[in-house]
Amino acid sequence: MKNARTPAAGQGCETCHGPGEAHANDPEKIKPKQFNKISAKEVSATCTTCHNKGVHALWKGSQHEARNVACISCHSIHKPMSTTAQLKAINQQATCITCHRDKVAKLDKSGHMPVREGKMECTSCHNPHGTTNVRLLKTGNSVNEACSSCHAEKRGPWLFEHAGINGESCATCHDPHGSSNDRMLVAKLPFLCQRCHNHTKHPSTIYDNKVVQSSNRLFSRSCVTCHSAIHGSNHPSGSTFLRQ
Amino acid sequence: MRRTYALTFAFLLAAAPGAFAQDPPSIPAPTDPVAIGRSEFSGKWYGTVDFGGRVTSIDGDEARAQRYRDLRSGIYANNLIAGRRTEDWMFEAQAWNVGYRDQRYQLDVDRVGRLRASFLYDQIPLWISADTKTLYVETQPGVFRLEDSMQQTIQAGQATLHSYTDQAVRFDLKTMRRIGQADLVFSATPNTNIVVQVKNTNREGHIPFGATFGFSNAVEIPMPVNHRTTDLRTALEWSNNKGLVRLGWDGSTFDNTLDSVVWDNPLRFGPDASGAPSQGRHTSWADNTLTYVHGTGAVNIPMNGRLTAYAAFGQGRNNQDLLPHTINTAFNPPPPLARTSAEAESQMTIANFTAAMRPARGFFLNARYRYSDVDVQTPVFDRSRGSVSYDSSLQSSNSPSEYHSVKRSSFDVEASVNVAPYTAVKAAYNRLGSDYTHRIWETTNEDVFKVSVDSTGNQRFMLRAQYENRQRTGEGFEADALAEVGELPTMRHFDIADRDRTRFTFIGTAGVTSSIEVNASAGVGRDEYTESQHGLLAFDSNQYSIGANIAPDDRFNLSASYGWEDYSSQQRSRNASDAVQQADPTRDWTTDYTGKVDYFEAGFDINAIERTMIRITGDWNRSNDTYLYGLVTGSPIAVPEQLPPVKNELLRAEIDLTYELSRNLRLGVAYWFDDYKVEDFALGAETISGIAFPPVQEGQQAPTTNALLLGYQYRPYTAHVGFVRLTYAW
Repeated sequence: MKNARTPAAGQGCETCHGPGEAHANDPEKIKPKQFNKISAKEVSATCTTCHNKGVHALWKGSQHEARNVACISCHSIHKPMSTTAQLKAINQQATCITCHRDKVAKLDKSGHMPVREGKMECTSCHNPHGTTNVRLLKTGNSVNEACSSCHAEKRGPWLFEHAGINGESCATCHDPHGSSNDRMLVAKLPFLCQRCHNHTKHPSTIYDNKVVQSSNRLFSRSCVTCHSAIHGSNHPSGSTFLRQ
Repeated sequence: MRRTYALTFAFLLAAAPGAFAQDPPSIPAPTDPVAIGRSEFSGKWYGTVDFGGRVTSIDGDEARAQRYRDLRSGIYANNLIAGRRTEDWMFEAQAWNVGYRDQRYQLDVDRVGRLRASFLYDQIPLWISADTKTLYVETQPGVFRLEDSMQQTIQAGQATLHSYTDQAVRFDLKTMRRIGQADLVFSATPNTNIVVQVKNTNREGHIPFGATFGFSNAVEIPMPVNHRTTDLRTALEWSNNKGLVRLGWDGSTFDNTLDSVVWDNPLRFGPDASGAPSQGRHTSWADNTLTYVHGTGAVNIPMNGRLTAYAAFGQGRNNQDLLPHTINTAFNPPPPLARTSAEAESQMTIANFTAAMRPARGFFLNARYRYSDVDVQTPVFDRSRGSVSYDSSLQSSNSPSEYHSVKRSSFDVEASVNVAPYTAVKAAYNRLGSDYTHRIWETTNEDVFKVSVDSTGNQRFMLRAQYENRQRTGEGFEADALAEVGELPTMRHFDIADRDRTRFTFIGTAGVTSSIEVNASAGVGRDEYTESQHGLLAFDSNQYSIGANIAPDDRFNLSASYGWEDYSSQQRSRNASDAVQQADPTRDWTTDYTGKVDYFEAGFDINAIERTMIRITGDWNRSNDTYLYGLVTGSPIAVPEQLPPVKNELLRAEIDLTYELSRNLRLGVAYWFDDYKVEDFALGAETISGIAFPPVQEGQQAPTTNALLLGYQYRPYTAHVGFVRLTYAW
C-alpha cells in the first residue's frame, strides 16, 4: 500500500517481525519476533506502534490490557476468520465468548438485544480497546448515557425523576445482555419493584396465584401497567409516574 | 396461529462471508474471490451477489419469531457486495436483505491516508405482537377514541366491557427504527485527523403503554412512537508515537412529533366528574438535548509508561411546555402550574486520569482516578397548590419535586508481576465514593479488592482467574427520604444499600492434543445486603460451562459447550397499611427467587466432500424461574397460593450446505429450525386470554372490569425456514 503513514508501506514484514537482514546474517542470534512466544505487553506494544489513534488510542491502561489480553488474543493478522477487524473467530460474538461466555449465553434469552439477529454486535456498545466511559462503553460518560444514545426518549432530564436513574445505571433494573423477563428486566415484576418499594400502600401486598387474573398489579406488565412513566415524567401530575 | 408459505427458486450470487443473521451463514472458501479482492490491491472489481428464495413456516407467535428480523417467504437478494481496491483508493458497497424490513446498506470509501468515509442505512424492526387487539381508534395521531355508545352503555351499568371485546380490532404492535449514519475521518496531516459522525435515527410505530384511571380502571393503549434522534460527534485528533491530543464536541437532539396522547375512559362517557374523567392525557416523551465538549491528552512517560487525561463538560436540557395538570373538565380550572415549561437541566463534569507504567520487564503498575458529577439544576417544581392523580382525583397536599444529583470519585491502583513465563499475578484496589441528594444515604463508599492470575501467550494453554471482594457502606442515613413516602424505615434501596460482594471467576482452555482443545469456565458470586432488613437481602449467582473443540484436520471441525447457571435471591416485605402495622414484624413476608438455566451449543463443519461444505449449528437454552412466598410464624396474612414457575426454552438448529459449482458460482441449501416455549403467569396465554380483565369465569356473569388491555402476551412458536441460493462472486 502507498499509505506512507504506515510503516508497512516501506518495511513490509519487518515492520512487525524485526529486521530480516540481521536474522539472515545471524540466524542463531537474531530471531524474528514471533508473537506467540512473547508476552502480551510486547505484542501490544508492537501493534500500538501504528494503531495508536481513534478506537485504539486508550489501549494502554485499559481493562483488557490490564488482564494481559494481547492484540493477538482476538485478532489474527495472517489468518483472520472474520470479514472485518481480522478476528480469529468468525465474528465478534464468537470472539468475545472466549472469555465472556455468560454474557453471550444471555443473548439466547427471550428478552435480548438484536445481536443474534445480526443487527447489533458487541462493539455496538463496547470498545474493547479502551474508552473514557465505564465498562468499556464506547459512547457517553455513564452507563445511562451509553444506553440513551439509542434510547434518547428515556434520557431526560425530567420534571420528575425516578431515583437511581439520572447519572446512574440502567443496569440496576435491566440486563442489557439478555433476560428471561419482559423488557430485559433483571427480575420479574412486581418483585423487582418490591426490592425497593415497601410502603403503606399496595407495593407491600403479596400478589399470589389467587389474584393472577384479577389484579392489575400482577397480570400483564404488572406495576408499569399504571406507573408507565417509570423512567421519568414530564407531566405536572407525574410525580408517581402514573402520567408521563 | 398464522402460517405463511411461499416458494422461491434461487440463484445464488456471491455470498460474502460474515453476513447478517437473516442469511444462512455462508461458509468461506479459500478461493473466495471477495476475500481475495479484499486482500489485494489489484484495481479489479470484485463482488458477490447472493440471490435466492426462502420458504418460511411459523406456527404460533409470528411476531416473536421475527422480533428483530424479517423472514417472510419470497425471493431475496442478500450479501450484495461490489468493491475495488487499488493502492490509493478503496471502495466497497454492500447491501443486505434488499427490500425487506430489516434491510441494510453500507458504502465505504477510503482515499488511503487522506479520507475514510462510511455511510450506513439500517432498518431495525421490532415486532412486539401480531395478536394485540384494541377497541380504540386512533382518530388522529395520539388521540384514541372509543364508540360513544359503548362508553354510555357501560357507564349506565347496562353492559360491561366484556360485551364489546368481540369488536376489538387486531393490529400489529410494532416499531421500525431507521438509522442513517455518516462517518468521516479526514487526515489533514499524517498525524492529524478530523473526525465527524452524523447519525440520524427515526423510530415509528406503537408500543404497549399504561394509561390508567385508577386502581380499578387500568387501560393499555398502543402508544404512538414517532421521534427522531440526531447526533453529531466531532473531534480533532493529533497523535504521534509520543502522545495524543483530542478535542471534541458532541451534540444530540431528541425530537418527538407528538406532544401529548389523549384516550377515552372506557367506563365513562361524560360529563366529567371528580373521580370519573371521560378521558385521560399523557405527555409524550419530552424533546431534549445533550451536549458535551471534551478533551483527551496522552503522553508517554519514562518507565515505558503513559499518562492519559480526559475531561468532559456536558449539559442535558428539556424545556418542553408543560400540559395542564389534567384534561378532566371537572377540575376547572385545574390546579395552577408552578411554571409553564419543564426547565429541566443537568450539568455534567467528568474527568479521568490514568497512569500506566512498566517499571521493569514483567511488572506493571496502573493507577486511575475518575471523577463524575451529575448536577441536576432543575428548579424545584412546587405542587403545593394541588395536582391531579390519574386525571381523576385532586391531591391537595404534595411535596415538591426532588432531583437526584450524584457525585462520584473513584481511585484504583493495580500492580501486576509475571511469576512465570506468560503468567501474571495482579492485585488491585479500588475506592469508590458517591455523594447523593435525596437518596437514603448522603454518601456511600465502596472498597474493592481484586486478585487475578492470567496465563496467556502459550497457544496451548490459557487460564484466567479472579477473586473480587467489594464492601459498600453508606453514611448519613436520610430517614426522611423513606418516611415522607411511607416506606418502612428498615427498607434499603439495593442499588446503594450496604453490600458485601464476593465473586470468583475462572476460565481456562487447554490443548489436549494438537487437534483437541477443551475449555471450562466458572463464575460464583455472592451479594449480601448486610444492613437491609427489607427489600433485597441477598443475591447469589453461579455459572459454569464446559466445552471442547475438535479439529482433527481441515475436513472436520466440531465444537460443543454446555453451561448451567443457578441464581437465587431473598427479599423481604412487610404488609402494612398504617404505622401500627408497619411496626408489626409478624406482617413480614418473603420472596425467595431461584432461577436455573441450562444451555448447550454445538457446531460442526464438514469439508470432507469435494467441493462441498456443510455446517451444522445448534443451540438450546432453557430457564426455569420460581418465586416462592413465605410468611413468618404467627403471621396474620392469609397463606398465599404460590405462583407457578416461569419457563422459557429456545431451541435453534441450522444446517447449511454449499456446493461449489465453479470458482465463481456456488449453490447453497439451508434449513433453520427455531422452537420457543414459554410459560409465564403474568404474560402467558392462560392469563392474557382476552383484553378485558378479570376474564369471565364459566357459568358466571361478567365481572366488573378493572382493566382494558391490548392482549400482549408471551406465546410459543415453531419456525421452519428453508433457503435455496446461488452465490456468484467475481
